[in-house]
Amino acid sequence: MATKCIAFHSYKGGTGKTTIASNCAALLAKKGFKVALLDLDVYAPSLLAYFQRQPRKWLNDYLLGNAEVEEVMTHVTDIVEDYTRKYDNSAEIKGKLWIGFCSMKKEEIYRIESGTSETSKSQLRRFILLRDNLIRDYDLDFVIIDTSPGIRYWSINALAVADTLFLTLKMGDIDVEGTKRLASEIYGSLTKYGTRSFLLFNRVSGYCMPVHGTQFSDQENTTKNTTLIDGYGTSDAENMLSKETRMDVISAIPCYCDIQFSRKEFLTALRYPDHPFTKEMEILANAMATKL
Amino acid sequence: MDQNKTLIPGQNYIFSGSEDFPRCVMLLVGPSGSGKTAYSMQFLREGITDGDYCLYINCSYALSHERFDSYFYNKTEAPEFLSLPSFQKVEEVRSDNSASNNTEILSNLLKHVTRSLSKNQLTPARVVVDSLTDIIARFSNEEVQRFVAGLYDFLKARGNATALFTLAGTVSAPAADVFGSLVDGIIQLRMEDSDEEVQRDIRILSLKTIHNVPKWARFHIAKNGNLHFGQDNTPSEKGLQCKLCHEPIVGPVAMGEAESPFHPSCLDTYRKLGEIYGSNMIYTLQPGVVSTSFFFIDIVGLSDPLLSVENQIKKIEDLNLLIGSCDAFSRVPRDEKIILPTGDGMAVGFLMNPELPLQLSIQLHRKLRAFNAGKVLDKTIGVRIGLSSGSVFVVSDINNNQNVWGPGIIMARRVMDLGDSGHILLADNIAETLMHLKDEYKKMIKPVSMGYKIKHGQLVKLYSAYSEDFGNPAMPARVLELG
Repeated sequence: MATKCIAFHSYKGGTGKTTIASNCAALLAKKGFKVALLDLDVYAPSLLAYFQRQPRKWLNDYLLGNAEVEEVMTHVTDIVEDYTRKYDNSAEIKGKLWIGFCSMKKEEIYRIESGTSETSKSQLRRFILLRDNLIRDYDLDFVIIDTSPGIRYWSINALAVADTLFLTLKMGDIDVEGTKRLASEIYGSLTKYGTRSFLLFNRVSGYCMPVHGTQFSDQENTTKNTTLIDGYGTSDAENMLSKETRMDVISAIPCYCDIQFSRKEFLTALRYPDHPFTKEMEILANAMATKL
Repeated sequence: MDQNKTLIPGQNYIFSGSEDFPRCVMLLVGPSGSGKTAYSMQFLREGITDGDYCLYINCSYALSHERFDSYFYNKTEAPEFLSLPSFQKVEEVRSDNSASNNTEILSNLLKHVTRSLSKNQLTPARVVVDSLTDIIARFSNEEVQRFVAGLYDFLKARGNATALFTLAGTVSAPAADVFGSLVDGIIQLRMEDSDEEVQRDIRILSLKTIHNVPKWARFHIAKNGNLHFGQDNTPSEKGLQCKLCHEPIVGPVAMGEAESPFHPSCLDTYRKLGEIYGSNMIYTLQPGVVSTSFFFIDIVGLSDPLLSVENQIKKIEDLNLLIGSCDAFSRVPRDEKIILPTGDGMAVGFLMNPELPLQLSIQLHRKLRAFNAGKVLDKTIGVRIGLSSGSVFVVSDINNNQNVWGPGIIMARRVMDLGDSGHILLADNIAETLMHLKDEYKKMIKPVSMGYKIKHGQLVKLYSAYSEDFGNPAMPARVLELG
């Protein structure tokens, strides 16, 4: 299978890109795929919160020419295996997962941001080489990029090297005009050269009945109270945006209060294999594996 | 306006005519597997991008509507799809004797096509009939010819339409002869197997009323169905470096604009980045001093208050397009030229070949002559051009973009300022270099003043380049005034 390079992007922040990208990457590895997940949200990186692993070097070091690919790609398959062993009664997984983390230190972010025209171009070249080296040397099935939101230098670079774009939108907080402009001005320039783009709706309302005291451990309760209603995936807003942006919908993920109001970020898809969110991630991961 | 617009995929590689490629109806002939359908789909995808109304007429039972949609990035963007098999089914239901209704089937299809095209009368159209081979297998020669001629006549009467009729086989087959003569020309595809890889080439074999020397161009069909032209699948020559990532190219090389080499995977990324940032984003001049030959141009009388701003902007846009279409500009790799817009014109610095500023001036003058022909005076574009060579410093501007400053560009500007409409004026440094290079330059470059004083008292020997179809033989008015 040829390597698929998928970028999770959004017009605004807080749409759930990182949560979905992390969970999908972990699920794909669990399913036997070789996956590299890159944190290109260089202005507000957060992948570290999901994987809790200190890298030898940061992507920032690589982009600035101070590290090699193998120094910044952290092998985290053992994390997926630990979860699987603990929560899914399965000892071994065949896939692999590497992560390129971005540093959260403000000095490191400034260094990436404050480059001159020359250093920006050199960093862009190194980023393109990173994708090529990963595909060539790691025999990957997927390169998944978590981008920064909006139209910024590093989000555009990430979109340009990807062959598929997921524009993530949080229902109830969609800037329709901004999204349309993003779709026509940026995505339009990319799809012209073969990039495929899809809408990914997150926190779609109407599925989750609030239940007092719902806990992750209370699987039965969570599942029972999560009901799909008629018209799933065909709401007016979804249809309107799909029509306006000329993009198909790859997935519409319901809003789960337990995830929404969780105190910390973690890999729900591995920790709670029966959670309806995990089922949604499974569907999305399958679509990524078979339909793109 | 179609000027400088690409109407068929790979047009810049396969069309060598001196005029712009016209909206026309072409027969696309090639053996099975040579890429006719992939080419047609690319033709329609580019049409959608350009905002054209696109129509695909499917004549095969093999292609479902769903499969057709998969050729397009988004279903909502797919062209209109008309299917001959669905027409046949309707007719077969209507009549026990379907064979007798063959003529009606094709004429009904033609009616549907013309109705769809008429509904979108004001929008430029792109039409694909894929393929005539399927129609020929089911209908008589006379019926098929009537269908092709009918659609051709309609498209011509409608105007603003480009169409492809695909046909499997070779150009020497009788069908290609017959149908090729019913349309405007023939695009030929060929393929060969070599080293387990299929190599595909394409050329415009004939195009009525337009002089075009057929030339083969290699193309490659990428995994996503996109066609890449000018791409050679042979291993690269030693030392070739990718223009995007700057890494050595080992294995297949993809040629981008101005024959710039890329890794095949980098070419698409380069095009995408270039589309958003402009190609300046990628190319970097090494900081320091570079020796450059400059072409400085501005539009004469552009700020005339009698000229509307809209008209002024149109002239600037047209001039940019005309310069971009000159070989001396477009065939020079992006990292071997510096482009600096100046508002009512531009400065172009060529890093390698000192002939290029003069060649660009000559080519532009010829294009302007054709452009201005028949236009009312305030729509015509008059330019003055100054050429010079010398060193410049590479500097960063306030936006962190690269800029240059130094004697080379300053002198080109000063020389240009002395000219009137139509003048191609040269400073002595570049004029004398060129006259030593070739006799043809010696013939066209004539001295104007052997010691003309310009700003800050600087003396410059001034030359003018002209011939029958470029330049201005008259003495520049400012030179005459000041003696």
